[in-house]
Amino acid sequence: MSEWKQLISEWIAEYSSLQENEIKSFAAEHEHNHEIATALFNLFYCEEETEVNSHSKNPPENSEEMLDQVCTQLFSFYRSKEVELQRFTLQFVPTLIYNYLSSVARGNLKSCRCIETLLIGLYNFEVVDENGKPKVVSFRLPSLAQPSIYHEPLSLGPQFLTENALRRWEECNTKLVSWGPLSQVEVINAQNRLKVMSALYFIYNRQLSLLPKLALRHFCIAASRIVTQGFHKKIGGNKSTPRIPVSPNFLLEMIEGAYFAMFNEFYTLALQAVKDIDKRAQYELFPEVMLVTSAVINSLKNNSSGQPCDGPMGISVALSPATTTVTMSKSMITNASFRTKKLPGKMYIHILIFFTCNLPGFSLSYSVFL
Amino acid sequence: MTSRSKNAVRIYETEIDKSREESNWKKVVDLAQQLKARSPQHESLAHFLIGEGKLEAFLEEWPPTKENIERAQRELSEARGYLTLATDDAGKRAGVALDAHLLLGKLNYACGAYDDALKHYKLAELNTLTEKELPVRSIRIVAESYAIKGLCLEENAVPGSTSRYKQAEKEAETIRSFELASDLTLLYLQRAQAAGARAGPTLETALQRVPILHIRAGRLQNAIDRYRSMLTAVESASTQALRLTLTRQLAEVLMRGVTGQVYKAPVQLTVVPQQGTLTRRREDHVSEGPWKPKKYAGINQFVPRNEYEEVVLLLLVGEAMAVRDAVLSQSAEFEAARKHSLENAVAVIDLLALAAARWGQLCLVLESLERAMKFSFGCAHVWRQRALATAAAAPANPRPLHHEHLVPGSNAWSAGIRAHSVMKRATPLSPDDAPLRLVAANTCYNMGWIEDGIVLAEEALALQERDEGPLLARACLYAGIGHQMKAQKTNSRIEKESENETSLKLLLRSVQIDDNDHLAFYYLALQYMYLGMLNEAMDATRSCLAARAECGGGLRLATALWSCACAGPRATRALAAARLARHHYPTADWPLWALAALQLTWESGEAALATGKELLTLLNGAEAEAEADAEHNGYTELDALSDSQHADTHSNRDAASIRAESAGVYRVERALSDAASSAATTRARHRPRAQPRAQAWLLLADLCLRLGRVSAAAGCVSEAAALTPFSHLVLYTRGRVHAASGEWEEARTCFQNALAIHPTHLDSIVQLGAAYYNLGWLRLAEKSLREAAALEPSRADTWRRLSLVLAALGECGAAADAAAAALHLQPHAPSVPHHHLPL
Repeated sequence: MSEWKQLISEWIAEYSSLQENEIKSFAAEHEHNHEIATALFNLFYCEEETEVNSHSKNPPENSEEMLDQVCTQLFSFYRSKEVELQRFTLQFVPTLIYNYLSSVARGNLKSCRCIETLLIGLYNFEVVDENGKPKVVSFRLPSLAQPSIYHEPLSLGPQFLTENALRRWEECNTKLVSWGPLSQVEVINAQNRLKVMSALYFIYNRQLSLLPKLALRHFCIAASRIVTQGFHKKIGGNKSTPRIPVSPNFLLEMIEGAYFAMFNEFYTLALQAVKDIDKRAQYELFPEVMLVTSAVINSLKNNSSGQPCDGPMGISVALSPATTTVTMSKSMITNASFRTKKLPGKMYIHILIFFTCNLPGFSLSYSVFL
Repeated sequence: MTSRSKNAVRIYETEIDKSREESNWKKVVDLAQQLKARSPQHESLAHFLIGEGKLEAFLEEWPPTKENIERAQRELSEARGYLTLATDDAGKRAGVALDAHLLLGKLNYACGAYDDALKHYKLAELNTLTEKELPVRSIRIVAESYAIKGLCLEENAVPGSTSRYKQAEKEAETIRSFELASDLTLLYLQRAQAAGARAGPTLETALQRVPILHIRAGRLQNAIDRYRSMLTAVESASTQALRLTLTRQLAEVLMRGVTGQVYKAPVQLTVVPQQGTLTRRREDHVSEGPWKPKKYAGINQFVPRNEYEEVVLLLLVGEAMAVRDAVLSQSAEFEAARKHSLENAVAVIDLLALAAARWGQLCLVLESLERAMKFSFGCAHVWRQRALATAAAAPANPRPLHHEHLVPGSNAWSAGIRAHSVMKRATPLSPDDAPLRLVAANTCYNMGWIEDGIVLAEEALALQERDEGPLLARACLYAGIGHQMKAQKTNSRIEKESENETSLKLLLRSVQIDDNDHLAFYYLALQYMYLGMLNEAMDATRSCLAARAECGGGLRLATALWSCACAGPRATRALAAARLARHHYPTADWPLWALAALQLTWESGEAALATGKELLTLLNGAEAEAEADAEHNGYTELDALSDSQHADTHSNRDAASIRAESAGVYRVERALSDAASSAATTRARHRPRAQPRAQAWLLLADLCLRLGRVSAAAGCVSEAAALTPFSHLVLYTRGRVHAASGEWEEARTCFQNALAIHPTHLDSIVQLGAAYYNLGWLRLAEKSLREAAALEPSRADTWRRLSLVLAALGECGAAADAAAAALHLQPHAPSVPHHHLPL
């Protein structure tokens, strides 16, 4: 236990003694320094455990002090221009968020002031760009009506040239889907807390593929803890822990990261996190979150999609089934070979069904009177 | 040789070529045997063809997989013989030897002899083939050769771990082979479009293998480039299934491996106009070389610029392809194909849900799910997803007189209808799904269809009771909420009592099962408050705040409860609660309403006025913010359920103004202002948040009235009237201004007008009674007040005034009774004036 504390103290001392010109090399070797990262994760978890037993006789004074120093240092990492150092800080964000939200739910704000300050700092840093203007992440919504490098509208059939598709094409360049602009905050209160946290998750998610793998593990653990805290009564404990409030967007960002972790070495933990989120969404009745969690869970059952066990990133060779032989496909009706047409009529609705078969020059047409 | 036989040979050749392209191998063998008999100098060619025919015919039935190796070894000896014959000197002269070697490679691969296969490819000089135009059949042979070469190299790579350098070289060779094979395959499938050609397992494996090898080696970008180069190839009938797989896989790779800075956008093909052609027309498809497939190159193409665009594009294209290929036939023989196509479509839609929901683009998912209805035939998952998506689009919380109105015909209304009707179909398909039913119940409550909601919530409750599910407490809660709403809605006393009782039972059960649920405690407290059991309500509120200290609804209840007259001198606690709420929710308006009202009573009028002004600034400032919020459909402001489902948490009055009626009020008001605005065009009638701002002005007017500043109050009322000229609240407050200056005749008209718009507005009825009393029309006053008392018997003020009227009429006994009732009810009257609380 004291071993990692030692490590952290050294780490704090080392950074404070750095010269301006040494920071670059310090940053370069820092990014994959698992030892110190593990030690810091330990510190954050230990912090949380001492809170649970807050009635214990000797409050760990030095640990709190250390947390304060660590937060300060992590923030100065973030403000440095070194991306490696920024990323180093970023990997702790989910754990810090959990730590913070858990403390707030317990009404223990005092113990997490330094974390709160760090999170506000990160948030304010990230919602503006270099020029201090509010940052916006946006993209165009593609429309099938517009040809793309991957398709031609006509070959997909007329059913996709819907009104919506055409409208989306028209608005493609003007109406962007976007995140932000978000305003900077001075304090976190009940009203903006989850907005700030969702934004931090969003920022974290944008860097997922660059973060050390270890961070993903802690992401999953933190996610599970956030959504399940206060749901399982501890045996013997008479007072249950308050639950952590959540919002749909907050959970959606969480699923995004969990999905990524699922296919990057942490299948079991990430799946557990998604299931926990699913349960919580059901409890809170967030239909949009339930939609996404059940989509993820279903895609893991569905053989058509790439499974985590299927090899790297769940991608495997999926051969088209041999069952669709040519003779069969001739008589099989698919969406593409099926057309309905309504003709105006006073007494009858004429429905013409054309079965166009795959062979050119060989087509039958039936007209059915209903 | 006679010219006739030459002709015959030529006819044979074209026939054979045709059959080969059509993969009609039996005919090829027949024709080749005839050719061999007729023209001995074509013997090598004939041997080659017979060997080819036999080999391909066998492989069509028994694809070259590991299980079939033994059979291949047994049955392919004849083909091997013929092909070997074709590789002799005569064969070389006839130009079939190289092709024969290529086929022998394939044959050996099928027999499991990977080294031999590689040897034959060396003999066929596969490495040094020049890229030139080839006939369709040859493209296939070459493509297969490269594919098999790659596969053989992979098979051999397992034991031979000689040196790292060699291994890397081998891997590079494997990938190069696969890449050539996949380009040629796509080219082949594009060229052979008419013949209904299929790629077959070998070529498909080669195609899909390359990116996987890249990913495994950690070269994600190469894998992505490879996927892109395959997907930008023009689709042909036989590549459809393959493209669907590739589209989904690329989307998966992007979602699972690429974020932010790592992403590199694809580059659009630059089209070089062909030299020497007369037409200036741009080609829609271009090819980069004789061995490359044609690619999409139309003008005005959508080229993704970031990962979100590419993922969404891929998923939309993939979904369209999956839907196009979806099997509609229901008969048993197509069951497997149907299932496969459905799974393909669902896989893409699931990914789309994941990618789009985060950006609030549920409409995309909803459109896809609706298209899937055509072929998913009662698939529970698809229906459930659709039900959830429509529920998410339905109005989230009922604020009858706030933002958008739930009037039939409005968007919110039709979204609610849609959610409800989809849910009706979806629930029977998932018979054990309690959460789905609770979502459905919630939608119903939000739409004001309380009875439907109760039915669904009770279904969920029964399911959870049966399974002892984790949502049992919540199912009780939602059923309880339904009964509570019903009790509030009904005007029949007996029904009200029984609903109240059921609700209380359910809510008590809910908190008993789960003593950590703030929402259950909140509704319990609310229920106690409706029943006038204020101490119990306070206890429940305390539990609510213990479970969630910042619960907005709980703070609101605490404010209301502490402000009740029976709380006496503890009203400072109400002020503290309101201030705390203010601290937690700085941009919410209700803490300020409450604070202003409380300050008036317990602090100074000046302080209350200051708070009221603050409120007005807040609402004016909130305008811009609310608009911005609505645009990127942001988060629900407060704890959605606890704070907005029952917006008028304060009151145990005004139960009479039920939802349906307030909707009616809205409509009348709307119709009036529409009529007015056609005359005065400058009227700001659709200004956002006009309602709450008007109400803030009315609050100020009320404060001024209580402070005795009648003229200032009149000014506030006219400000409010400018915003919502036909609101009953404006008319009501104007009436009170008139009353304050003793203009009873004008006041009476105002109250009557208010009642014309909102016939059960309790405050107006009571004030009308007061106006009649002051005008000396005592019987009319009594009638009004009795009407008010019938609508809401637990309001002390009504009885107090009634006793005055009755006393003036000389009915002393009745007056005494009324006064007693007033005294009895007085402790429950909250000092927070409720008529200003937004409904």
